Amino acid sequence: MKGDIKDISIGLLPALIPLFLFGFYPLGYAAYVSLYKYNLKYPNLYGFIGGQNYVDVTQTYYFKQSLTSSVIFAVIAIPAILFVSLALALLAARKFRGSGFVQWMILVPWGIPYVVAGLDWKWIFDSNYGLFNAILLQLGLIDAYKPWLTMQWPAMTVVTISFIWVTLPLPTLLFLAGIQSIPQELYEAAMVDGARTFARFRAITYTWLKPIFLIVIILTTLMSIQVFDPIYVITQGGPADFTALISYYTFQEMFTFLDFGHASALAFMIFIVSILLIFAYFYVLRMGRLRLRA
Amino acid sequence: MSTGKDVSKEQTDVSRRKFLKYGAGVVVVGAAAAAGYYALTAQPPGPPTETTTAETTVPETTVLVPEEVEWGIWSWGVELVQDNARIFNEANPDVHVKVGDYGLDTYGSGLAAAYAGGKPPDMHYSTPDITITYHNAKQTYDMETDYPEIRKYLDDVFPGYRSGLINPFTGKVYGLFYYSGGQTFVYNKKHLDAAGISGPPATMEQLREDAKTIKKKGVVEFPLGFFAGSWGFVECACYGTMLALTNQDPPFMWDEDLKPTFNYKGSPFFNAIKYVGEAIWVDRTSTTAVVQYDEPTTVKVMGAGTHSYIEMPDYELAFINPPGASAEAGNLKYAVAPGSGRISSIYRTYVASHTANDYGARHRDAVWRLMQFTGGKTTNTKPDFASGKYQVVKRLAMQAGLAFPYASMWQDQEILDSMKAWCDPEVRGQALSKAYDFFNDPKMTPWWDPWWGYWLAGVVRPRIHSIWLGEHGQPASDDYILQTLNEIADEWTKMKQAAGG
Repeated sequence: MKGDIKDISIGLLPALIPLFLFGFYPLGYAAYVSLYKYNLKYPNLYGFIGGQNYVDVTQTYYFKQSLTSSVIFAVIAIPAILFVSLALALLAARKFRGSGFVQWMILVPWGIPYVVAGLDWKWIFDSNYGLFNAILLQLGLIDAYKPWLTMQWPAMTVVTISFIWVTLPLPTLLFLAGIQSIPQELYEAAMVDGARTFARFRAITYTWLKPIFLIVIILTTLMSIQVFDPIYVITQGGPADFTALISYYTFQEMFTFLDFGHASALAFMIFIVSILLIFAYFYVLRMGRLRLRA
Repeated sequence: MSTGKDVSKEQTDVSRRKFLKYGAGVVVVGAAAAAGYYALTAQPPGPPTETTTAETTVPETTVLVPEEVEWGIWSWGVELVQDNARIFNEANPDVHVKVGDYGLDTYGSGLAAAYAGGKPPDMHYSTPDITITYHNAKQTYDMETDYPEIRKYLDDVFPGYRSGLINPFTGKVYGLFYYSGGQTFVYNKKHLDAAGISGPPATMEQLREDAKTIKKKGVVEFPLGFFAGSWGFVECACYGTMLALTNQDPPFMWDEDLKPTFNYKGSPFFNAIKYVGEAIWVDRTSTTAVVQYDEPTTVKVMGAGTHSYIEMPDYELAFINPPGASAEAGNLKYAVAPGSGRISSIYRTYVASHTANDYGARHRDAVWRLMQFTGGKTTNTKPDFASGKYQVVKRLAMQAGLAFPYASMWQDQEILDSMKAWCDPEVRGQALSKAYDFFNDPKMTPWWDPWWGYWLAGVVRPRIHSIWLGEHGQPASDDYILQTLNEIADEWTKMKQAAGG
């Protein structure tokens, strides 16, 4: 048994070494830096301050707002991704003429970087020459172009749409795989018993896909905590910091304010939240597998 | 009963639980090792070393390898810069200039990484907030230390820019100008003619009334533009408005001890915020879209004729006004700003980092020669203060429309002729002569830029934008504006204390 563990550990080394170098090494250093007052603008003030950076960042002028914005973003993005990806998966699972094309179209955004997608959506909603304004004007719904990105909720919506559009393909694929694994006999039996569409969905599809629902929720929550590109590209945190999520301010602390201590503390806090979500993911995965075995 | 084969399989199978346990154990040990390694071996950054005059010198008669000098730039006009470096290198075979491009958006952080790594460029572009950061950290080298003749350049500089070349911690001249300019007042003559307005306004009240007239006559919907989304400029549409509205003597925002003096009703800063807010929500002569106006957007909207008036960096007109450059080419004109006429200055300088002085007199001399070529007076690239020309500064002026703070250059007919294609050089000169160095009001500090939001993220910019976006009243009440000013004054005090001030 000990020899097996040793063999496995040796086999894991090629994967663990880069993980250590590019994952744990920077993480360990960030944890270390987060305990120091380390601002490049004030090298004379460098010194160990324990957990003071963690206290300081929670008392900054931006923390409460950026946390609120992050929650708002997650509350909009996660349900939207969940339901839209499920709907797309149900559509893609059907056999109809052009279903292959639909499946391909669903996957296209996955190949587009967040930055490019952000620029596209920014252009669509531009206040001077955006497509969205042009369409609304043509339809007579507005009498002049509107600066959508200077309004809080429209700006948040645009950033969220940009994020959702690129993120959708993965959950859709997960749901599609789950749907395609459901034995057809279950549906046939349900139809024989007189179950209608919604009843079949609730009793069979939803029940079968429950673990995938939870996995998608956890994964998209993780991604929405770490999102940065659409914000940087579309709104730069505006209007008036409404879209400045916590990840954006982590970047600003590091690269604009040059406060490595604060940035490391924020990054480590985000890491802790992410780790908790990952543990939740593994727990759900395990529960899902146990259920499937049963 | 299990067979021998089954027993063997049980022995080789590893349960998932055991696998996870050992895997997690490896991970935990790895993380602990990393933390322990850094705790024991990481060296804190040493105290900044004062730059000292190097004692080694090299005899001139010795044939030497060219002295390599790094010139750090941001990504603007890179080909032009490379060409200037080539010209210098060809004429100075004992020096080799290497251009290091630190990006545009990433310039500040890229430069910070270079300084933190101990190898910043010998000479680099700098904005006032970057300059103060490295002066404060004692990581720069004041050229006047070994080249006192640099101070003579101040006599040729317009008063509103001189403080931009002085290291406030040492009182010495640290470098020379890359370019300078101002947030000049610009108007669209075609709009004014269409509205029956004879010329640019003399006061801010007249500006407000003229904007209403232009709107009423249906010339444009939003006559007033504001450069409020700018990053890397002092404006945020506040300072220019404030300078124009007040005849008070500077400083306008802080006293000599850097205590806020702007947080009361009727202060110049208060009046400026109110003026812009009322233009948007009362007169409806401006739009909330202005909070997004950075340089490219401003050039586009003014080139498209969206607004009749704006204050923007003076060199932008070189992109809008030449024949065929935009729909409004030829219609935009400079004017002396209404009211006090004061505008906020823009300047970028050449800063020498400590590495300029770390490698001996020969290296230092090479950096000084490069700085004089790029920002001073030379003849055939060789330093010549007495009778040389501002070779590179002139080239930037003629080819890119950048302005300059050197009074003597405003007598150069060749330069003035090059401007005539897109502006009236005399009016431009008059406007820029009233520039006020807002970065030193009364003096620059390292926490000014994170407080203001010079590079977008900050305390002040989002608060002011919030007022102009109508999120706290349309327009915001005087009480709310005062509350905001008090809050940002408190943040200033906190940042000052955190910086050891």
